[in-house]
Amino acid sequence: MQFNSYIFILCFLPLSLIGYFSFRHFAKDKLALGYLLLMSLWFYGYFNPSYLLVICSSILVNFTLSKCMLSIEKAPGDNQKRKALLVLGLLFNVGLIFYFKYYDFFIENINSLFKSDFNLKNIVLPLGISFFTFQQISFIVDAYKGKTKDYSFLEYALFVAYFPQLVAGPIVLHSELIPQFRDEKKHRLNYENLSRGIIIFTRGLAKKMLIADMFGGAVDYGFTVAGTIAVGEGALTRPEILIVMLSYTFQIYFDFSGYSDMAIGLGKMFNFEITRNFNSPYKAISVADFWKRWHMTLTRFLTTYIYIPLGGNRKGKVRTYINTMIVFLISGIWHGANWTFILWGVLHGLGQCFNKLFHGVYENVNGACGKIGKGVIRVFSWIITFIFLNFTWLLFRADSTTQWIQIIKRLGVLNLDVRNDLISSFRIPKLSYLYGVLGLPNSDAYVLGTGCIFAMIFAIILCLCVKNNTEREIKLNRVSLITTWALLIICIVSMSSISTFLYFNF
Amino acid sequence: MTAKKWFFTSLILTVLSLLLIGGVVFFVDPFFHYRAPNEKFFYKLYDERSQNDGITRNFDYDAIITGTSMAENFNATQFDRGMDVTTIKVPYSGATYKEIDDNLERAFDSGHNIKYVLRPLDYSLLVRDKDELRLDMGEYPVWLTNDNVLDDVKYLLNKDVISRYALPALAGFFMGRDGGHTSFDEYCYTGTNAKYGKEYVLMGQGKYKRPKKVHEPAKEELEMLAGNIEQNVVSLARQHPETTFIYFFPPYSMAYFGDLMEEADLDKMLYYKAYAIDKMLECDNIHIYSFTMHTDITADISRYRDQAHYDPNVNMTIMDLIMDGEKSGVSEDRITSENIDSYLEAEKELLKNFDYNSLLD
Repeated sequence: MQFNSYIFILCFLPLSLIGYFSFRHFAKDKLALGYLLLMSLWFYGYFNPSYLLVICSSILVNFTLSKCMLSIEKAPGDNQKRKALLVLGLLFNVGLIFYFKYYDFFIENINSLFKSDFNLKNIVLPLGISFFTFQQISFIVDAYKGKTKDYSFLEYALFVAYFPQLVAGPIVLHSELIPQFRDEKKHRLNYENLSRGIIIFTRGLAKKMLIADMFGGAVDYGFTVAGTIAVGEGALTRPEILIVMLSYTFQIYFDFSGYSDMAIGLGKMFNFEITRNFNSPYKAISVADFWKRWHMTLTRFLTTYIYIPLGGNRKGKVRTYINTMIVFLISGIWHGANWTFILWGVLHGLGQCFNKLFHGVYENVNGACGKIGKGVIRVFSWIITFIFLNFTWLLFRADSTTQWIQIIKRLGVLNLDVRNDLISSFRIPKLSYLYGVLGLPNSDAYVLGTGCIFAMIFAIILCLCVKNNTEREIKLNRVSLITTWALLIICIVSMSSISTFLYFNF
Repeated sequence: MTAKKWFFTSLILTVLSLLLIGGVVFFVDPFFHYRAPNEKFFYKLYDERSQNDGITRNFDYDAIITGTSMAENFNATQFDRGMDVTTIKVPYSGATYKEIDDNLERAFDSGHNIKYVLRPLDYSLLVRDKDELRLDMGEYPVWLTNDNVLDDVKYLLNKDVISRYALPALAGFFMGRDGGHTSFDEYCYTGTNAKYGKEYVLMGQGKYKRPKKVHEPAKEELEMLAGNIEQNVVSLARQHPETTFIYFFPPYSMAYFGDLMEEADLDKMLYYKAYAIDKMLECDNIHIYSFTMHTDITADISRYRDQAHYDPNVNMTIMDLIMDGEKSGVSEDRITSENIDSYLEAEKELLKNFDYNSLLD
């Protein structure tokens, strides 16, 4: 079930809230958690009921392993068994994600490398498997370190399956969520939290539906063209590539951060604080800065459970760079089974290493400059970082590394045409009529071009000049009431539209 | 404002707004999902795949013009006058036979006594899986055609339905506009803005070359054709002997057949056409027309906007020819059990020996 669906907003969410707080009201705490777990499983199974088998077995295995570790802890001196259980847990989790996410990719590469003919399994990837697997890896590692408490199965299962963060994160730690299930102060319906949760959820919904999907129209069209006509007449032109590239940069941010906002808002409605995942990432002035702001819970996971155990920066400069590259390689692989993601991870790793390498020089130059000089350096750093992000996002979205290279090469071909179909999602209603009244050219090209420019400016202002939803003070007043109500209604009626049929021949 | 007040105010506002929007759509019902058009409103007919189902189920008529874009430029009033019927035009641009047949079934299931069905049979869609739908064209509004009441939320709370159809109909009412709907002559009409001419039809076409070998009919294709014709063309006619099903092979241009010839598929297509006609002739209430022999149309490529799409005057001509045939019972363009062999032989002779390069002059 998607957050931006009628069934979620009009049925699932009200039922979840009413049921959960009813059980809490009558002090049926176990029933409340059980109810929320069942609702979360319904939420997950709605995508595809067979997914339930995967998540349930994953929860069972990890919980059993953690319990075994806990029982061994009570018999001191038996660390080997605990280590074996940890290895078993890691193998299980990595094996699960490998099988569902990378098996076919692995076989494809084997076949291509050795000219072999192993069959592909065409496995359906269970949604959110990357998130709940990482969440459970962190739990298993913490169990090994003795950092977990004696959680009940219900608490653990709900921690993994809790619907707001199940499909697209944030990657929440057990120590952040399970104590909140137990906190009695959070058991009663709280109108402050409920209202603020609705505001944050609605803002996230609007980010996803009204902004990200608008840019998504241009991105989908652009990559359809790139996929059918890679080079020559009819291929993407220079301005079209720039539009597609910027559009995807904005789409992925508003989509993902919108989703995280919705998760945070939903958590708040149930009185739970869900970890923040974004901190205005496009304000970053270096790749290192970007990763402190983008998908922060993934960065935290990779730092805590991979970078630091590898030695972090404690084993000399060369090892620091190697560790950094390993972390970003894993990050790339985690994002998807395609060489595009791996190369994307490597490029970000190199960017991070570059930042580390020249950090001292940067500090010295920056320190020697006056206020204006510092400002110029800051702007320059931002521009370089933003360009780097745009090109690497283009790779992230491309179907293959070849396609990415072809698109970048097309930037060298001088053709300034822009197809109306590419920018049709930026249409501003009645603008053509307004242009006509004002005596301005009101052809589709002008109207859509204006819409496209407005959309880009609007997005960049939102990214750079507006505070985060988590930073802004949320006031419960008439303004927030009217804006939330209006945005919610617009989003709900935008969930369905009349599909434009693309081919009109025959 | 207290949090409790904020919450309940927002909840009430949201619920009331959604009820209002859903209520307006339900009351105006611009896609005729629940009932026939309200005489007080003027309804814009524009979106074939969203509105045809409601038109088919809830309008009052006894003749249907359906099919693909080959039927879009027919004048329903011409058929009304000629055959003394009340006609709706419900074409589906680009549709497979399955989609068109599904809609015809809805027409009969909704209790209409239909005298005539006028429908083109596109050559290009003959050999398709019997259940194929054009999923490449966009998302089908299945929420209008399925019987799941819960799915109606996608109709009642739909930004396009409310903003492009329901509110304009309401606004028209308050501004004193007379009730009614876009006429079936205008609905789906694509003749106004289309550009016709040789340069569009023959774009990128070099000299036609005769192939060295021709392709034979393939077993899988024949099975597909048989399934498609039986399920989506003949079956409904067999169930409704009271209705006359007028099926016609549209006059695609000679450029289309030239292309088939060049790709070595012409013989195969003629074989498939013959098979389809053979099956259709098993039903007395299917009347088959074909216009390939009208070279005054098919060889005059200035009347086309591409290899297949002819100008609206061709629609008028073929409708006149069909109506004359129906009324008199005699037509050179109708294929019957008596003339099938001679017609197909003459057609084959024409298409195989036609000087396609003369189109390039």
